[in-house]
Amino acid sequence: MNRMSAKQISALVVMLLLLSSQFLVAEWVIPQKEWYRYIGEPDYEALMPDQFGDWVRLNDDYTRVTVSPEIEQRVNELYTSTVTRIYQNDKTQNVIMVSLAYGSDQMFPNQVHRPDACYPAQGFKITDKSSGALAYESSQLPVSKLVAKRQFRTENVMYWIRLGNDVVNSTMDLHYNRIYLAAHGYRADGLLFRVSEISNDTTTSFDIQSNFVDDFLDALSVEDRKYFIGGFWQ
Amino acid sequence: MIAAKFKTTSYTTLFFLHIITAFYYVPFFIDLSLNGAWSNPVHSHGPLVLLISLFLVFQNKQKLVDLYADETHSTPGVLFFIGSFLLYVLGGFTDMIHFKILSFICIFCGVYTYTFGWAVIKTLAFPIFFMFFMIPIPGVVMDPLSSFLKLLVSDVAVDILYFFDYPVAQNGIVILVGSYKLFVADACSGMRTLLMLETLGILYLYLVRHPSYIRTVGLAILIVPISITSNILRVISLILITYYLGDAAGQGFMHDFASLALFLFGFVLMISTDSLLRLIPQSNRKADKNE
Repeated sequence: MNRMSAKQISALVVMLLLLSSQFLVAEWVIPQKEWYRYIGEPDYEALMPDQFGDWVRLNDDYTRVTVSPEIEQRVNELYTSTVTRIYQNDKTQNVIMVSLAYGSDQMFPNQVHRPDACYPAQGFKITDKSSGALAYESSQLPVSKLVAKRQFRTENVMYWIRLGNDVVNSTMDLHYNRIYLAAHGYRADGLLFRVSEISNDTTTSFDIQSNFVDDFLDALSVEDRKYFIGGFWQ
Repeated sequence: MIAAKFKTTSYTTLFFLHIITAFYYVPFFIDLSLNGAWSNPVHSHGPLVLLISLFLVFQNKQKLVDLYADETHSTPGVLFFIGSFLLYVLGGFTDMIHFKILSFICIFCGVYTYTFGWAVIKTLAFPIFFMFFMIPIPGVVMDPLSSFLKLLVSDVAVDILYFFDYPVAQNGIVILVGSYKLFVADACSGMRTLLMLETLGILYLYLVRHPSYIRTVGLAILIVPISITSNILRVISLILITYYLGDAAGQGFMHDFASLALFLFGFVLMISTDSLLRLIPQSNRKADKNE
């Protein structure tokens, strides 16, 4: 029977130490603090103003739609809260739908879903996709734009995602933001803010939506605005 | 003979490493099956894949003995254990179970390379490769994929029934048939059937071990359309059951029965495709002889 050399023994000891410590270290590095609590547990239902600029909230009955029970269950699993509001412009009569989904915990397994994937499931075909920036005060808000068609209905959709501290567009930025906060010990939250209008004139529709977003953000206090477009840490 | 050759220090070490690994990972895998990702029906094949992989290692023990020289290989062992450490910690940091499962594969490689050297990776190539099938597909990939499949399956199913003059209409994942309204659920995307068939198919290919490379890769790729086809048939049969026998029948026993029947159908289709593929090289060979 051969004896183990000192090298072999030390290798074995190193391996055992690594194996045992990986479980401890993994527990220790899990981000414990919740960004959601840190920023003050936003209640989006209450944050959405009923009236701002020329826009007035319409009756909620419009928003009752039949959704598949499974989608509803999945949505409840993924999101802490979802808010749908319909606003109409007093002067121009344009009707805009706002729909937001908020998840207080956006670690990798349960991150917000982009509308790009949800629309086809509802029978829409996405005919155009682009990304742009919305200038608001001194900042540029990266937004995505979609044109979704179903039979004769064309829905122009504009959305952005706030993940933790910032509004992000690309998946890489999403991951970067999440890891950045995790490195500070926070579990990031996530907000999908979606604005849409049914209109065949896509260009005009997106202009109207940009104005809508401007008016909407103007109506919020500086503190409340951060819940929508981030910037808690400068 | 095997026992005699193995009764050495490194055999004891190997045994010891198994015990230690099991001590840490058995609770991990049990938790994964009961509460974690493996409890999701789509990934229910996870534990099965793990057990089959480990069994395949046991089955290859003679080949391992042939590799064996009474010495340990510190370098690969330590490297794999460092890899496992990093992966597991990354898994904790990002809250992703995938890295933690990968860490197990790393530990597995570490334990065996430590005892048998780098060459063991080649010997155990299949069990190691097969273990990757127990990693759940992340939701970010899974959700768009399953909604794509769902749409595809409902589109084709409705088109076929419409061709046969059934009163069907479809809007996204909502199918109207007669006076009934059906939601094509996530389960109907056939993701589960697809993953299960792909896993079984890969195992089948390994067990049958035919020399033709084209046949192996061909079948592995063909499993995708096979499982989609069997899933379209399943959705069609469920629409027809609802149409003729009512909503209750479509959701009850017949629903589960159709799922099982079509899974078996998919499996049979896979094996028959394999038999068909087997004919191709043979006919080539005949052509060679005729020349």
